[in-house]
Amino acid sequence: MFPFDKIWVVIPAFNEERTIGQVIDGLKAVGFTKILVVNDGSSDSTESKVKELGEVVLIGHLINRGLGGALVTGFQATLRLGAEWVVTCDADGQHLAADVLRIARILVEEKLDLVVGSRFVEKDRQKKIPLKRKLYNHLGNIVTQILSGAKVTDSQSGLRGFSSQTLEKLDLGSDGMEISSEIIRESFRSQLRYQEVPIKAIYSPYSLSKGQNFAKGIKTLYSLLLGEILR
Amino acid sequence: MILQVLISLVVGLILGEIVAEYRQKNLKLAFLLFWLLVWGAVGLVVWFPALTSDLAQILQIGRGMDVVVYLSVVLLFYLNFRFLVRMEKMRREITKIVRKIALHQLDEQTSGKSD
Repeated sequence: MFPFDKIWVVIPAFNEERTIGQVIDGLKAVGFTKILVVNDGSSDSTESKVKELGEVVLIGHLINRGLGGALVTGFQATLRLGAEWVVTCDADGQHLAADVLRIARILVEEKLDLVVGSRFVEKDRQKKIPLKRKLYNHLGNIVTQILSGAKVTDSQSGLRGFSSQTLEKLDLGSDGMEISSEIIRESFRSQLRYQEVPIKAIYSPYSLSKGQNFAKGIKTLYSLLLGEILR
Repeated sequence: MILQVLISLVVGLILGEIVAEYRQKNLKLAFLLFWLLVWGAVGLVVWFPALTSDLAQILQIGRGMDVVVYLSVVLLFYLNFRFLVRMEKMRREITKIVRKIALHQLDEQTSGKSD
C-alpha cells in the first residue's frame, strides 16, 4: 500500500483564491491526505478558501516573503508534522495532480533523495509551452549551471519531491523565485540521488501571469548572485 | 580658509564617531582602517589640494579634481553594494521572524490550543 499518510504536499500560495480550491480537490482526488498550504501573506480570500475546504493544514506568513520563504516554512512545518517525504506543487493550477502523484511514487518507490518534475525532458511535451516561458527557463538553466555546475532541463520547476533527510540536509536561504536554482545547487553540492521526471504543465493566462517574466527574471538573477555573496 | 576649517571639523567628528564605533565593537578592524583611510584622505586633500594633482600624475589622469571625482564614484558604487548586501540580510532576517510566527501558529494548532 502506498504510504500517503507519510507524504505531505506543500503548496505555497500568494493570492491564489481563483485556483487553490481546485488544486487541493485534485490532490485529494488522487489520494493525498496530508496537504499543507503556506499562505504567504495573501491579500485576497486564499486563506478563507482553504479553511472552507477543511482537512488541510493551513499556516500563514503575516507578510508576503516570496516563494522561497514560503517553501522553507512549509518544509520546516512538515518535518515537525513527521513527514517522511514532501512534494511541492504550485497553487496556480499549473500542475496536474496525476503528475504530483507520479513524482511521489518515483520518490518513494525508487528511494530517491530528490525528484524534479521537468516540463522539458520530453521533446513532444514542449510544443504547447509558450516561447517566452521556454526562453526564461533556458536562461534559468544556464545561470543554475554556472552557479552549481548542475546541468538540468527544468531548473525553475515548482513540482519537486524530497525525502525528509534531504530537507534536513539542504541549506536554503532564498526568499524569492531564486529558491528553485538554490535547491538544485544545494542538491548537487550534497551529491543527492536526483532524478528528473517528465511532467505536463497547464498554461492558462492566469498561470502565465503568475510565473516568471523579464522584470522578475532580473530580480531573481540579482537575488541569486547576492545570495552567493551572502553564503 | 573658513571652508577648510569647517570641513576639517566635520571630518574630525566623523573620525571620532568611527573610532567610537570600533571601540564599541560595532565595526571590524578592516572597516576601521578603511574608513580612517577614506576620511583621512579627505582631511589631507582639504589642506593640501596639490596632492590630488600628484596623484593624477601617478594615475595618468588629466586633472587632480578628476581623480577625486573618479574615486568618489568608485566609493559610491562600493557603498551602494554594501547597502544592498545589508538589505538582503535584513530581508532574510525578516523572513526568519515571519517563519517563526507561522511555525508557532502550527504548534498551537497541533497542540489543540488554536483560537
